[in-house]
Amino acid sequence: MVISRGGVWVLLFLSATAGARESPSPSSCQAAAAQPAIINAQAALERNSANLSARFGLADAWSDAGCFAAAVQVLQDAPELQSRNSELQTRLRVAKSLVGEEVYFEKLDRADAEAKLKRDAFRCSTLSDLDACGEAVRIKPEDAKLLIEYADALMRSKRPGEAINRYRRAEALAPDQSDIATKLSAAEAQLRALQPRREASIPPVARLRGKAESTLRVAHAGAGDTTVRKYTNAEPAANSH
Amino acid sequence: MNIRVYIARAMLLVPITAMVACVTRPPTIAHVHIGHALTGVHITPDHKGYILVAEQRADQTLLAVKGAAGATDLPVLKSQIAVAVSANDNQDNFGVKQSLIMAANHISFAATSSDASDNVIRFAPVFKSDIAAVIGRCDYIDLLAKDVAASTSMADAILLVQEILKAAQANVDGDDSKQSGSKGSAPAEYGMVQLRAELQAMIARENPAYRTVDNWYLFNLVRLPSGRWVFDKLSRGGTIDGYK
Repeated sequence: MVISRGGVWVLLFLSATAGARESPSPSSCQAAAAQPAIINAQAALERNSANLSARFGLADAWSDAGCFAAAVQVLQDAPELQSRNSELQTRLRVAKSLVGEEVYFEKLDRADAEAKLKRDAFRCSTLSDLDACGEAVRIKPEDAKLLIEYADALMRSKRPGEAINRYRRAEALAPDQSDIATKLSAAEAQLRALQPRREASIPPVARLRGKAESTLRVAHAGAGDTTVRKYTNAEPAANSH
Repeated sequence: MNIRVYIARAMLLVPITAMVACVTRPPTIAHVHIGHALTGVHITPDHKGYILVAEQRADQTLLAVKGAAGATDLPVLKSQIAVAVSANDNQDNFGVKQSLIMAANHISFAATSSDASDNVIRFAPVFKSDIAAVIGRCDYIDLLAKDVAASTSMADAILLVQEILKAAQANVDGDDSKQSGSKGSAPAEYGMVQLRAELQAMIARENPAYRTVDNWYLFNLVRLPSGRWVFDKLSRGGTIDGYK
């Protein structure tokens, strides 16, 4: 079955509508100009600028590289005499439409990514979901509002030390946010309030030795003095304090 | 009334009907594609146009989410959210997302038809761009609905449903996320109401005027292997050549 070139272009359009998900940036189209297919097609057109097939060849080469705006430009540059050619008009219509498609797919992809971010931000601020907070901040590390929400969620989880870090980062990013100072003070107060309680829960021997948190966990793991004694035997250097 | 008068009137009607038939031209191919978005297409439920289906599905989504918001136990809440998801994003049953994308695609088909007006050609990419807000909310509803399905806490599920409700409501009549005081004042705030208005405004600008396309044309537009769009004189309902 013979398919006309106009038909091929319409089919190209339809398949692009169904499946195209990538659109090159202007810089990648600049890089595409160095592709042999484009260089050869350009040279062919320069040899005979009145040759419509050569013009279509260059437009095809740009389209193959995903640079539809460049393809439109090539077709629009056709001499006045050829501007009423029906195949040229079909190709121009389709190419113009594909320029719109680039933006369309970009927008759909962005909508999907924004929905994920919005969901994480919502879970963070409303449900104090720390995983969601972490994911949202990973996607937008410079977003002061998200950092504050992350810190707020950490405060609700009684982790003021980590919250303070996020508040300070948010403060650096958005120094005009007046409520950060208040939140920071509250976090520092919570940290101070938690510290004596933590110290009180540590067995006296371990507290005196000033162990790091992991060491203390080992000390807590067993039953009282026996465990501590065992531990101190294993780590004689730690006894020097 | 005398039978002769009936016959005389009938005789008079024949040429009038014939004259009307002679001056009635088939719609442009571009207008038939627009008709698929607006009026009817053979593959949707009840053969409704894609925009009509999208509007209907957005309303159904909202209704189901409202049902979930009023639920008093977690299983009922979850089942209502499942109904909402089915209306919101469903490949097999033309959810809001699928119907709206199809509507935008058909406006693009219209723009690439050889008889498309400049008005249609200019409008197609704008419309495709402007559906992004509704599509984004559809994605957001999907994600939150998954969280509802996984939730074991009624309190958490209610919070999630309240958020879904806002998105579902916005998909019907837009939102005011830019806080300008009015809903749908920018494309990022658009819901189905604003998209419909945008489409109607484009139709109103058409010259020659757009007329509601007859079902025969809507259901019998086919694409030839050459790429040309024609009407199938055998009335096979647009089922040949896989045109959808």
